[in-house]
Amino acid sequence: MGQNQQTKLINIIGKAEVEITYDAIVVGSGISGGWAAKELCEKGLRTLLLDRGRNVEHIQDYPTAMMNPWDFNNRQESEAAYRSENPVQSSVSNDTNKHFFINDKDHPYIAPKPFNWVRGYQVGGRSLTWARQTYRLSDLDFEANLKDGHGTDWPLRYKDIAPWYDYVESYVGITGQAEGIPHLPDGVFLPPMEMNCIEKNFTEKVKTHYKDRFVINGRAANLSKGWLGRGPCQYRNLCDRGCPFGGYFSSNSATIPSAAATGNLSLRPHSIVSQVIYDEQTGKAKGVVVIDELTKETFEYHAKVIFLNASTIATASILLQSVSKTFPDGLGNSSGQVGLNLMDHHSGAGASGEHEQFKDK
Amino acid sequence: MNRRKAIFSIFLLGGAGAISYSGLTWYQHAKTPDFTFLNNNEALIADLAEVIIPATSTPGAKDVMAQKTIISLVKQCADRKTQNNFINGLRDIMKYADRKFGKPFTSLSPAEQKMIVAHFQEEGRNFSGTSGKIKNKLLGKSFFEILRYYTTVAFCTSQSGANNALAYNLIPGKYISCINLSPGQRAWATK
Repeated sequence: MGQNQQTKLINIIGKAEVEITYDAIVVGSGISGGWAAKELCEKGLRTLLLDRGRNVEHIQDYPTAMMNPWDFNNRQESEAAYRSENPVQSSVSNDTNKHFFINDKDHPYIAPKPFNWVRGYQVGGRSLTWARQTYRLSDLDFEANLKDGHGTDWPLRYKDIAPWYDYVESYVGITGQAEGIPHLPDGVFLPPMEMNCIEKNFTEKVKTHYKDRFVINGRAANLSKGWLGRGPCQYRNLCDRGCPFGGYFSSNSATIPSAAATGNLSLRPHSIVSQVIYDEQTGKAKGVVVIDELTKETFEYHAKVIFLNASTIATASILLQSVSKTFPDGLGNSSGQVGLNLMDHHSGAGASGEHEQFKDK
Repeated sequence: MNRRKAIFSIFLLGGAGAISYSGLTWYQHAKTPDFTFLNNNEALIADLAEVIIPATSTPGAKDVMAQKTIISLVKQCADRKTQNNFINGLRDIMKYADRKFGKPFTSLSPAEQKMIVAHFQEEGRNFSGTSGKIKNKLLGKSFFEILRYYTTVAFCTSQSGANNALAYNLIPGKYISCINLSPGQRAWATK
């Protein structure tokens, strides 16, 4: 993924485009949208990749990536005015990366039951700011609801999805170590980042006390060695500013440049998809309606293949707005369940302790 | 439970006391902060910061102009409660210096200044556990805690502090999982 390949990215702004029909349309350019665009382009489909936010070009649009702490007006501390205007985003963002998060004032939250839904409206979405932890599901997950007697059984098992995991990991580059734990399957790993002395000590202690508990290296989309022209990780711990070394996986550093390299990609930033157009004659979705974020003009784009990768809430929202005669309550919402049952992301649970040894390390 | 914690707990439980108390302190915490006073006391803040991080063979708080950063952080980044606690604390420091030594804080010897800051450290020491969290929530952090926090931020994130007193590298390039610490080895400047 060199600079030269990125220049093949086509940016359509305003009315300049003449083409309205593509082989495929992908809505959203975050982790899954970037992947969809790469796969479709590499299979030879002329693909339109839409994102509601501005373009973020790998390296050149990471304005804070090379700044020192003293280069920031307030030494990386977020301003009180920013925090009070952005109660949700400011809980995870700071002065060094706030340009990759939305503004709560422009995009307010109505949350009678509190939930956290962090949003990043730009090309690359939250793939720029994600925490990069990457684990495989196993049959423990795929069979859990069946065993507990809830819901509908998953139509697939681990063996069906394992080859796709291999394929994705071989491209992304995951640092980790094979452990042979049945319910946390091993993957295709780059070398692990070595544990420090207290971590090694803890691992040994747990092993001597428990047969069924494992302390393992985190598996993360950070490149412990150079991979497909990206990385390696420079251990700066500044990932969420965007990495000029391509040290971690993002749409911007990896999938979008790969998609662009095929010559089949058209990227249209500032494109808010308001609905999917349903064709009553053919009984299929035939395109999307786009509102230009800057000019507020409305465009239609058509394709046989449409991927919605706008993140969970926005994807549900687009489906609910895609009202037609056949789908009066929203496309794919004959169950009435679209937009309900949001399960928030749990994080931050854990335990900590103090240890007296290794004070000289 | 020590005496201060016990008194504070009674405070929290005593309804009438809490109401009259919160009426008074609400004003102290919620009023528009006196930034003119803050700006006019740069020298005092510089001396206070220097007590926290004095110059030795490596730079101190004054060498990195910590006072300017502290003032900016209090004005831009601190919440209203913290702003007022800090500004009220500066006034308390002035009064205490006058009462104890009959001189302004900035005219005292480093040892005398240290004695005063130690007094405020003890006074501002928070309780451990839940009552500490409740106190911070209701009353905000103490003057000393705010001073120490912003002095540390100002110093560690300054170009000279990071490079001349601590270890700083924007691009480490590698990760060494375990090394032996040598005597006097510098701590890492960034978190």
